[in-house]
Amino acid sequence: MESTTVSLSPPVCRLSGRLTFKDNDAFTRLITDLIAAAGPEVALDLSDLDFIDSFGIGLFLTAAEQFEGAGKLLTLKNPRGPVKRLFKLAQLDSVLRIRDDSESAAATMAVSVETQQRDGLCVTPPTTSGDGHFSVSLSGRFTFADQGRFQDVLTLAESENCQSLTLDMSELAFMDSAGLSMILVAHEVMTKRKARLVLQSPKAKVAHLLSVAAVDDILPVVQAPDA
Amino acid sequence: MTHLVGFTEENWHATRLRSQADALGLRLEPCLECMPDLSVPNVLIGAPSLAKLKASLNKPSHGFIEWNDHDGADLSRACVECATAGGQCLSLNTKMAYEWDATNLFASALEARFPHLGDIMGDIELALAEAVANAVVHGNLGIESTLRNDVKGFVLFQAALLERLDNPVLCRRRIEITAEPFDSACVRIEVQDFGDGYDLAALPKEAVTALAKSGRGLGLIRQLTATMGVSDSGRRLTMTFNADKAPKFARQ
Repeated sequence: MESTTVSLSPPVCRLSGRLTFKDNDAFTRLITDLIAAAGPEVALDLSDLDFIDSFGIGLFLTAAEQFEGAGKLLTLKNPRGPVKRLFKLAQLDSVLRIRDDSESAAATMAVSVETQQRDGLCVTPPTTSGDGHFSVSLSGRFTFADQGRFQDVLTLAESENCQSLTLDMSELAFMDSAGLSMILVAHEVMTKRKARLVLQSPKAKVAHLLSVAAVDDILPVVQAPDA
Repeated sequence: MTHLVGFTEENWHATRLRSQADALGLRLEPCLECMPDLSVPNVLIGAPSLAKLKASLNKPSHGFIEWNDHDGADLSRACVECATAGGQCLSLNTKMAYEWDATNLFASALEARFPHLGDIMGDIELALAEAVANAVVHGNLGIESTLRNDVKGFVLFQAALLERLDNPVLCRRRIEITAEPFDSACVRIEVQDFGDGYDLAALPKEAVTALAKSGRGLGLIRQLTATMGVSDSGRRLTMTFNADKAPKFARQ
């Protein structure tokens, strides 16, 4: 990975080449320097970045946390090719601030990543009654392969606006321990900020997983009011 | 008993396949359509497609064995032996096992093939899901489960999963699933991966807490099976189920 400062005000730094575990030290130094620089907002231009691995994504996530800790904002601009694809597939746009200077490119991307999707978990967009209570319905099969589709629920669970979240499981046909793990992470995130996660109307297979794994003692499980 | 036939379409002239089939006592026959409508015990051998999988997991076929001349992987001995003994088998690369939900395909076919397992199919399906997930994620793709302990960990886990599914070496590694009935009410299910294996003794001995966000898989399998064992340096998981025992996990 190489970095070039392309603008000082606002600070914009362009990354090029490949960002992998080998770049840990160089990237960490760069982030430290950028946080020390003037201005509340810093952008990393990724248009010349050819490749990123999962370690590189971890570096971006850590950097975003460091910026947040310093009261500043980090924007990642113009990811391209394999970098953009990995960002999209890993749904990083829900946890990182990612901007694209060309909007048409974003539209093309949305079409291309949806090919080759497997059947599995379906998650409805959240509905809210306006008092901090949100509901989301899960359907299909929730296994280790569906974690990306649950990302939006985790983002909602982290949101300060969400005081309670009901997961309607009445249409969920199957869940394995990886699906359960995702729900427990959401539960933990919400418990930490004194918010509440409720599981509603799990059907036979899902209800029994909750029972076998002894989580029905920990998580509130309710039936739908009109069930 | 009737001899098991291996039907193959695109690999009919592959000498490497012929010699491997001979060594396993499997008779190869050409298959001109997706699946022959012949009432002889058979397996389908070749490049995978969803249609082939669905057809070959149903009677009279005993399953699907992926075989490609170019990738160097051998014809699965475990699958051929299981099919010969009247069981059901599936050998499939990691990427397809992930995209096509191998657990769901295999469990649905198993219930139709062995209706007497109906009462314990819930136990079987969940244990199989855990075993296949372990084989894909920790076995063939070599990803640690400890990543999945918080929101950031899940993002990293997902990124690692997608990245390694694109790795041409890792994604072609096979997952093999075999299910063979024994006694009158029992079935033995094995899940084999081709990763680096692991040391079972190095795993934590204590049971996970109810709030644990990783490390549940093997514990659940232990709860759901009559017996469970690990061999081949952690790459093969053998589970047995007994339909005469009360199911721990209800059917839908």
